[in-house]
Amino acid sequence: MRNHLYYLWLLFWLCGNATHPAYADTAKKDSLPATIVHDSSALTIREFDKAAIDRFRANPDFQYDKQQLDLSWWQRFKRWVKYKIFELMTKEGSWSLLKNTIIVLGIVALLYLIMKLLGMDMASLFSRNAKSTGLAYTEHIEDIHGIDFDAELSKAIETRNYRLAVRLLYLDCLKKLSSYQLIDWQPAKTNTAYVNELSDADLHTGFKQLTRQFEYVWYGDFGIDQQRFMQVHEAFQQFDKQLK
Amino acid sequence: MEEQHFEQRTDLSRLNEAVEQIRQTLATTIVGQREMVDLLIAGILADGHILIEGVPGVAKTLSAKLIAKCIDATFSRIQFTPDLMPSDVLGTSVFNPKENEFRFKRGPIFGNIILVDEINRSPAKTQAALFEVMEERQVTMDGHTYKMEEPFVVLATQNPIEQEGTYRLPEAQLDRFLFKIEVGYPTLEEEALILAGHHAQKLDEKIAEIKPILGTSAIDAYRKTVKGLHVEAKLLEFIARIVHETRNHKSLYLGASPRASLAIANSAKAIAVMDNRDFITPDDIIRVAPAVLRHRLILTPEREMEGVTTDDVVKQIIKGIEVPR
Repeated sequence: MRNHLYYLWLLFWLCGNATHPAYADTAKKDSLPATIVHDSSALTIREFDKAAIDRFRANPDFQYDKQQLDLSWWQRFKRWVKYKIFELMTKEGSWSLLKNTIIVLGIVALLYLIMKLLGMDMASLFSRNAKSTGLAYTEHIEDIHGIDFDAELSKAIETRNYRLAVRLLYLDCLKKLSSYQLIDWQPAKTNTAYVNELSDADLHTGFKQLTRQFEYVWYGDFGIDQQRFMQVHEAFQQFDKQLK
Repeated sequence: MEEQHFEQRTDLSRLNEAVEQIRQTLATTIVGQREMVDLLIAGILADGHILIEGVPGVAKTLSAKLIAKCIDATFSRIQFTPDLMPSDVLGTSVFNPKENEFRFKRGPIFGNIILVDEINRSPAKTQAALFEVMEERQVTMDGHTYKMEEPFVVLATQNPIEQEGTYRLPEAQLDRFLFKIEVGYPTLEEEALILAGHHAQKLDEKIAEIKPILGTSAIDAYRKTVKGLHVEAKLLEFIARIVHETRNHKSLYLGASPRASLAIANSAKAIAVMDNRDFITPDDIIRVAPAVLRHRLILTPEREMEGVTTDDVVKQIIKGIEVPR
């Protein structure tokens, strides 16, 4: 019974709404015949500027066609390497290769860091310059070990080149001191450094005087005649005897 | 032995006497620091300006004052401060209402021995005022050039750059200093001697007792002697190689200029004269090279961070060059 009443109420409500002015108006509008308004305004057909298009076509900036690149052998090689790497990486088992490479690079980097922290000279590991040059100082491209001091000295005395003769005497003296291991020969050491290396007081004094004489003649360009040279020569010979 | 073989070509006896007197005079007040004293004398004989660097209290200013007192010349002192203006150093044009014109009032830079105390406490603007006067020995102001009287020596002191309130000197100015002398702390024995000396007599009294040793004319004559010294061609090559190496060294960002080569040659001559020689030896060059080069070189940032000094690099360079013999 209650259901019947509900359906009745619903029927009345729908009918009532259908007679509502708003619905009535819509129904009225829908019932009007449709009117089609034709656009009768004149149409202007625009066309592309042919000259402009031709100009754009002729412009190389707008040529998007893929051009065949004229590659050099180096560029071709780089492409080939890139391709090979890519191929390698995409193949099976490439991961293990990459892993090994990373491990090796890591070890190298670690070694570099350790050497840096220890303050080791990296260049000296591979450079020949780091080696001790020994007794190989050259003057006028000559090897002190290769000089026949006796012959050269005789030649210098014969030609009355006493300045050169004093130099030869001094170099010979340094060579002897080095061979007796009384001095540690290094090309960058000065004469005073060698003098200070001699611990024996007599040798120290004797060599200091010889050094002074050599410096006066060689660096000071003091004129030296035969008589003076003989005195200097005598002093060097005395020192030789001291060494022996 | 050598004296009987080689007679002196140049009479250096008076010069050496004066040098020895200066050494002794300074030794009465300054304990130790023999190398600094020798370089100060060498700098004056080589006609150069000297920069003395050290932490406060190590007798930088005192040394400069004493060396100035040993020279019978006009002395002026400029204390560099952060607000110092170039005109405070060089001088300025002042209007004279009586004559109705501007007149140049000379600054304290006009003198023979100029002590610039704590030079790096003034900014670059004030430092730039010294460029012309230090190199060209003249001051140009309002279109007029005023020549400096000889001798003209700038003795500057500075605190290390790490100290508070200091500026880094421009490279162009540093290059104008012949030497940069570094003054370290005294040893324990020296410190005890300083205390004992101070206890015995007051410093002011000691300084007041100092009498001039060198006159301006004597300095002029000695400088001419130094300039005329013999230098073996191979040694000039040696100097050139040292300086050239600074321009290619991997630890250096800035190498030394040709002015540095000239400075080494001139100062090595002065050192030779002080050793009673009228020619230079490789030892003289090696002795002055660090003082001449240390302020002219700039380390790469990596080396600076590693604590390497320019002295270390100079030593390394010298070690790698064969001594001409």
